[in-house]
Amino acid sequence: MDDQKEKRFKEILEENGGRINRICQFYCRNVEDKKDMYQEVLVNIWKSLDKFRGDSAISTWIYRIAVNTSISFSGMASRDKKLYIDKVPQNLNFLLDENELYQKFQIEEQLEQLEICVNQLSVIEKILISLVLEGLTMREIADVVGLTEPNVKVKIHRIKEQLKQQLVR
Amino acid sequence: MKTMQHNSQQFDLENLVRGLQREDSRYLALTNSFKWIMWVLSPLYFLLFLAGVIVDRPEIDKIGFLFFSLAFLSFALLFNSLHKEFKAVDYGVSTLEMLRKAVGRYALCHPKTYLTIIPMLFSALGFSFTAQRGFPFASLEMRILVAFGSILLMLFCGALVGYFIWRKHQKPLRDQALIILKEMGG
Repeated sequence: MDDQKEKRFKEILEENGGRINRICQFYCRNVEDKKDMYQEVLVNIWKSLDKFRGDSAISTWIYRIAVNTSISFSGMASRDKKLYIDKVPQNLNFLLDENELYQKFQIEEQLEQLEICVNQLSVIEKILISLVLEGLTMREIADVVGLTEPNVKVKIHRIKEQLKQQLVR
Repeated sequence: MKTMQHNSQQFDLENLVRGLQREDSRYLALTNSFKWIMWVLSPLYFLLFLAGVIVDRPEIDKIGFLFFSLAFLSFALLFNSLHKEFKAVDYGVSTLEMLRKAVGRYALCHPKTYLTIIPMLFSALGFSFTAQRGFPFASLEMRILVAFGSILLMLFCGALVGYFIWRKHQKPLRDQALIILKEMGG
């Protein structure tokens, strides 16, 4: 029984280690904090493994655990907790279309600005943005956070508008 | 291993798995021992009560043993239910569901909080009847009353400590969960 659990646990980690790592990266800049959060996500995967019945995709289940852990991880629920965004141009794509990306030299500055704006959002809005940046579909995001798909769409649309306004100012 | 490559930090997965398995078995052993102590003490005190009836011990002792037996039985049942609830904590549910459950679990006025009063009260009564001889009063009623009052005072202090622990650790979590739920519109 324990061997089976261990085998399953390791398989899940092999397939989803990258996802977990990326989610941790959104919430922790410091290497030690990231390591601690990564470990906490793993502990929660282990604790919840017996209850996973395959009702949702394994990736959705992993994102749920990672996001839920991020909320409870050392005050992550606090509005002041920062969300860190990698300074790569692709991370602006969800917000701006191709034409708006013509001023390449401004990208880095915009990414800095984006991070500042994102960190003024509420906890749940930060979570939604981290999942958008992860490339999840609206359906998948709705499954992770437990809201309806239209509700998620509306919330994300509002966040995008808000961020866009702040960025173009 | 892939996981190690994804995660740039030096992460000892083998050690973590061993640790988790150790923690699981340690927790299981701990809860089992506590459960068994309660399940042994309850009939033991009931046997003491029966023995008291046979050897004609003072009524007051017999009542005390009976209350202790009831206290251990209700502790065992309560512990069993808390253990099940603890094991049911699942991080694989949606954020909305997890937050709703956390709000219920960390509430001060949780039904289980009130249920703990029952075994506490039984043990207080058990103590009052069996330990009343230690109190220097002539009247039996007075001794029982003082014994009961002192144990209630101790329980009240315990509850107060529990309240401060809740205020420091659980209340902030509950408040944060409520804020996020409000933001989610749930």
